[in-house]
This record gives sequence, C-alpha cells and structure tokens, in this order.
Amino acid sequence: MKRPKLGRIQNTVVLFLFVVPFTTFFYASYVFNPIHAGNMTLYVLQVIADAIAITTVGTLWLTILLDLIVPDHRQRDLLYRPEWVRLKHATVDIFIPVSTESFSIIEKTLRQVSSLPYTKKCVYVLDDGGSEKIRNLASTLGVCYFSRKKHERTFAKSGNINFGLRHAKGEFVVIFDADHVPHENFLERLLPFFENDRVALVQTPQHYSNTDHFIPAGTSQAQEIFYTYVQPAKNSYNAAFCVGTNMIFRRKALDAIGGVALRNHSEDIWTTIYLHENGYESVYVNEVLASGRAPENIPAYFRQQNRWARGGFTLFFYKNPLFVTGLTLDQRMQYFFSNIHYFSGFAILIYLLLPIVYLFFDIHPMNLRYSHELLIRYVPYAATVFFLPWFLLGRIRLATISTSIVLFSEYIRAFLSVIGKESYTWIATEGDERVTEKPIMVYIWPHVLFLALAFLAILVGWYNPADFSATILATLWIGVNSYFVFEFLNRGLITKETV
Amino acid sequence: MMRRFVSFLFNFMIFATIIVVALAVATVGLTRKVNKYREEYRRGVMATVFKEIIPILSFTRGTVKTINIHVGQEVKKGDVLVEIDNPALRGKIAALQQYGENVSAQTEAQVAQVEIRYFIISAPADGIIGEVQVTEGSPVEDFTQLAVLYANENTKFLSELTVDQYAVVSRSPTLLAYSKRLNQHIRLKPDILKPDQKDPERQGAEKKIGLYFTLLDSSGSAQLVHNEDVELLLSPTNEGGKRPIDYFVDFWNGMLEEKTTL
Repeated sequence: MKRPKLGRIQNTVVLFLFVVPFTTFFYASYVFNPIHAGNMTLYVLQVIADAIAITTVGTLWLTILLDLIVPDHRQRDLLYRPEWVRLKHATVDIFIPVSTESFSIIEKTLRQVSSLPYTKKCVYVLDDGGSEKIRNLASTLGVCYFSRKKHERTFAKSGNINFGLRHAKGEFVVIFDADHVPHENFLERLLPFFENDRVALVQTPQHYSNTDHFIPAGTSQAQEIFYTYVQPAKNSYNAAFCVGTNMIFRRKALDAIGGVALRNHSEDIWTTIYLHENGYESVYVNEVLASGRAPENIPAYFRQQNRWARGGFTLFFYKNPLFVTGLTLDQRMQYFFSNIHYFSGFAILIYLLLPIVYLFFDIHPMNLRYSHELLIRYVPYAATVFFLPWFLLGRIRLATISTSIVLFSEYIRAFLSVIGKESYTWIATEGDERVTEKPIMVYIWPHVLFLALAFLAILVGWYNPADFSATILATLWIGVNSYFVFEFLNRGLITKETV
Repeated sequence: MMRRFVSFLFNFMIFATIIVVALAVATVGLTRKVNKYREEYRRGVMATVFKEIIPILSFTRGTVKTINIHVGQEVKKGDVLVEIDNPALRGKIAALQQYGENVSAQTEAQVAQVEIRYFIISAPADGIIGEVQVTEGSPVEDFTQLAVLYANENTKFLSELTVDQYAVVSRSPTLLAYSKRLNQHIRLKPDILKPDQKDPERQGAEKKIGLYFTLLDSSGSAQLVHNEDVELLLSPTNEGGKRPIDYFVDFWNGMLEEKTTL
C-alpha cells in the first residue's frame, strides 16, 4: 500500500527541542522577577513582549514535541487506497474564484486545470470581476463560467464559492485560487483519502514558485515552517485546517454546515472549525501538488498578512477556539496556538522600540547593575530561540527575518481593526490591476519612522553615554534591526530585483 | 497623472511628518541628556577632607614647661612639640644619686632617669597641629591629651554620591578635585566605601553612596585642612586624555553656554 510522504524531523532538532525549555526557563525566571526591574513602565512592556515571545516559541515547541512523542502518528492509520479513485470515480467540481487578478495569471491556471487528467470533473470559473475576456477564455476552454451580479457580490471569496455551490452538483469540491496552478496528479493523489466517510477536507501546502523575488523568498521560508512542521503536527490531532486554496472538500460535509462560512476574510479557518465542530475530520498531506505565486510587492504582501492576522484575531475574540464545544482538547489547543501567533506583532514592536527608548532617554526595563547576570541568561535563550527555526529549516534567509520583522505593523493594524470591528474590503493578493493603489506610505510609515528614530537614537545615545556596554549593545541591536527593516523596504519597493 | 501626483504628495507629507516627529523625539531626548549631564557632572560634587587624627598624649606626670606649637602649625616627624617638667622627680634623682654605693637607690635613680625621657614629646608623624589643649604650666598626668595632630599621611576625602555619579567615579581610575580655598587642583583616586555603607549596587537611585577618596600624590596634603570641602570634578573632560566623544560633549556645552549667557 502506498503511503503519503510524511514531514521529516531531523535528530538534531529532536535533541534541540529538549534544550529549549531549560534555556527559556533560565531566562524567564530572571526577567519575570520584579526585583530586577528598572523603569517600571518599560519593565511591564518587556514582560509583555517576553511573555508573547515565549508563548509563541513554546507553542511551536509543544506542537512539534507532542507530534514526536505521540507514538501512533495519525497519518499511519489513515485509510489510503489509490485504486479507490478508479473504483468510485466520483464527480469533482473545481472552483476557481476570481476577483481582480490579472488575465495572464488566470489564463495559466485555467488552462492547467482544464487539462487535468480526470474525466468526471467540471471546472467552474467564478468571476467576481465580470470580465468579458475571462468569459471568452472559459468558452474556448469549455469550462463553466459564472459571475455574480454586482449587487450580489457580498462576502468576497466565501460568497463567491457559495454562489458556485448553488450551480455545482459534484461529490467533491476542489478550490484553487486564481494564481495557484495544480500539478497533474493532484486529484489522483488526494481523492483516496475520502474513502473514509468522516474525512471532509484534504489540504495540501501552498507552494510559491516565484521565490526569486525578495518578499516571496522570505515568506516561503516562513510558510515552510508552517507546512512542514506545524500543519503535519496539527494533522496528527485532526486539527489541520484549510488555507483557502489547493484543497478538496466533501460536498456532503459542506452542505451539512451550510456551505463555506460566509465571511469577508479567512473563511477557510472558520469553515474548518465548523467542520471539526460537526465531527468531521481533516487531512493534511505534506506534498506540493500545486504551485502559486506569493505577493511580490509590499502593499500586496501587507494586505495578505493583514487578512490572515484579522482571521486569527477575529477567531480569538469572537469565537475563541478554547471554548468551542464539539472540539477535542487537542483541537482547541491547536486552533488556539495558531491564533495567538499574531500577537507577536506587539512583541516585535516592543523589542524594536526598547533600545531606541534607552538611547534617547536613558531608561531601561531591566536593572542594568545586574547586566552580566542578564547577559548570561539572555544569550542561551536568544540562541535557542533563533536556532530553533534555523534547525527546522536547515538555514534562514535574510529575507525570512526581514519579512517577518516588518509584519508587526500589519499585525497591530489587524488587531486594532478587529477590536474596533472595522469592516473589511477584499482586495486580491496578487496581480491586482483594476483596484486603485493606496500611496505606499500608508503601508510603510511605521517602518520609515522606525528607521528615522533608529538613526537619531544612535546619535543621541552616544552623547555622553551613561553606560558604555549597554549603549554598545543597544546600538548593535538597533543596527541589526534597522538593517533588516531597511533591506525589506529597499528590496521590496523595487519588485523586479531578485534575491 | 493627477493620481500619481496626489499619491506622491501624500507620501511626501507623511515622510515629512515622520521626520518632524523623529526630530522632535530626538530633541526631547537630547535636551534631557544635556540637562542631566549639566546637573550631574558639571556642577561639582563636594568631598570633605578627613585627615588622620593623632592625639598627642603625655606619658608622665608633671607640668608643661614649654609649648613649641600653635594651632595650624606644620610639623615634621620628630619635631619637639611640648616639654614637660617635674621638679619633684629631678629632686628625687638628685637625692638618690648621693647614695652611690646603694644598689637599690641606684636602680631607682635609673628608673627615674628613664621617666625623664618622656619629658620631651615629639611629633610621631608629619602633619599639622589641629588643637593644643594645654598651656604652659598646666599640670599633666599619665595619658593627658596635650594636642591633636592631623597627619599628612592617609588623608581621605568623603563624598556622598548619587548612583549615576558613583557610576562615573567607579569607571575612572583617577579624577580631579578643586579646592576653592587653595585655588588649585588635586588628583584623587577612589578608595573604599564608607564602612557603614550598604552595597551601593543594591540601592535605589535616590540613595546616596558614601565613598572615600585618597590622594594620588600625598605631598600636597599638608595644605588641606581637616573637615574642609573640595569640589569633585566628575566631568569626563577633566580626566586628562580626551576621548572622541568628549569633543562632541564640549561642542554641545559650548553651544548651551552661549545660549544661556545670551
């Protein structure tokens, strides 16, 4: 019997996983002790930032560790018979929701999807843009074309998919974003999982093919952690969730929960949570079966991240997975872990600001008279926190750190808009031609302000420094941070540049 | 075209705002630092001179015959300070010496002779007379205090420092002090903490830290008076060799100085 490929975890990582809690505790026991406080306000901020950072690393650690020590990996028990596809020969509907992506991208996807070697499939282009060009292309390729009337275009992608569900009648629903091109064996590979009646969702990773650009190169590495380690681990708790594209739904299950969750954004995770609530199972297959394009310019990238962060925060504040009845404890924890990741924006902001505040105003969160003690505890902690993703990925690109650091602004923006219940208007991630672009400064002003403050802080800080070692450390820290931020702006603003 | 221009204008305005905000923050920070610098380091911190007090005692009985010292007088080690006389003892010796053959009388005379050596009291160390407590003709007993000598050796300076000042001092091997009375600079080095002082590193920023200094070169100590104040110059510029940052500091101080006088 052929088995799907499992995520591999190297032995070094296993060893390392056992070191992380010790270094973290060693550091936390020092920082969280208020005896060592310097300036009280900054100390509180530092504690908040450290608590968020430690929680984020801790959840990643816990997810991977539990996956390691749980002996019966769920994937091994999954029913998988490749011949089932031929025996059953179910009808499959393939949805390609389109909003305002550029024509060339849509054309490429459509041609590939319509040539998938599976006979009982029906391709639906769900065009929210109402473009005549796409209608013509659809008729040449012989695929179904549906477009909502203008006044019906509510709830963005989820509304669009539900609109498609009204027309389609197949047993399985496949969804591809307009910029995700599936591989030929997509259906043959994934359909066998549905032999088990309880499986409602089979998900594959998002893979970016345009990693020769700076931002996609960074995001793809961050994604790699999620798809190589986190999702397989979630999979073993039956908590793998849908990421909006490259997945197959069981139509019966979708009907049972009333279609895809109607939301302006992140309908994917909501749909999955409803499915899990109703006792359905999800399967994650860690095998690249479709390749897409990551956002290449800063506004597109920030919009995408903002959308994801909004999804996380909305779930956290309005349907906290910890209190959803019908989920198992494992599932609750796994959903919760994915939500709280987005709080790291606050931690990053605080970490960026603390050295600047020190250089400007000479106030610091910790009592510097114990600086050697702090250093002894901080260095192993920082090393393990830094090397954990390093070991997981094999290497870390500069782009990865750059693109992760700058996200603080979008995470906080998403947090504020979720708290303020601001409405969201959907704009496609990539290839947007018709939507008017906001001025770039709307997106990057926090980063430019950070760079300006960082530069001035170093000048002011070296005016009669009170403590040389602390000033040198703060300067180094600011230098490294502003290098990453500057590199992101520098490379991100010029989209054509390669890594 | 119009939209691109509006977009550019918008970007430019946000950029300008950012620069203004950053400069404002920097100005506030720098002003604070400069003020703190002026407060903490330029205005001198006082240090009190503590000299070693040596009491001059008599080791015999008698009356003060001559006093060769006055308050404030500088004396060298071995200088005769006070002479004591005891006519009764001298008479006793003279009487005993008449019995040349009597061994016990001679022994007693020799003991009395030894006591006579204590009639001359000389300075045990270089120093300055701080106090004279007897006059000529005063009767003295054993261990009567005659005078007080402030030794030149082991002169100490006690200063109460804030934590920040202490941080400056503990980093510098030597520092300058200025005596207004003498109108001259003296070079000090940090010595020990005040014995009843708790560990300064464990104290809050408000607490003062008592720190003793000693003279780097003890020859100048004769001019200093016990209990007088000298001004500690904690400014880094006074530490001798200038560091690169000091030129910057001087530049800023110069700027501020001009502004305040105008």
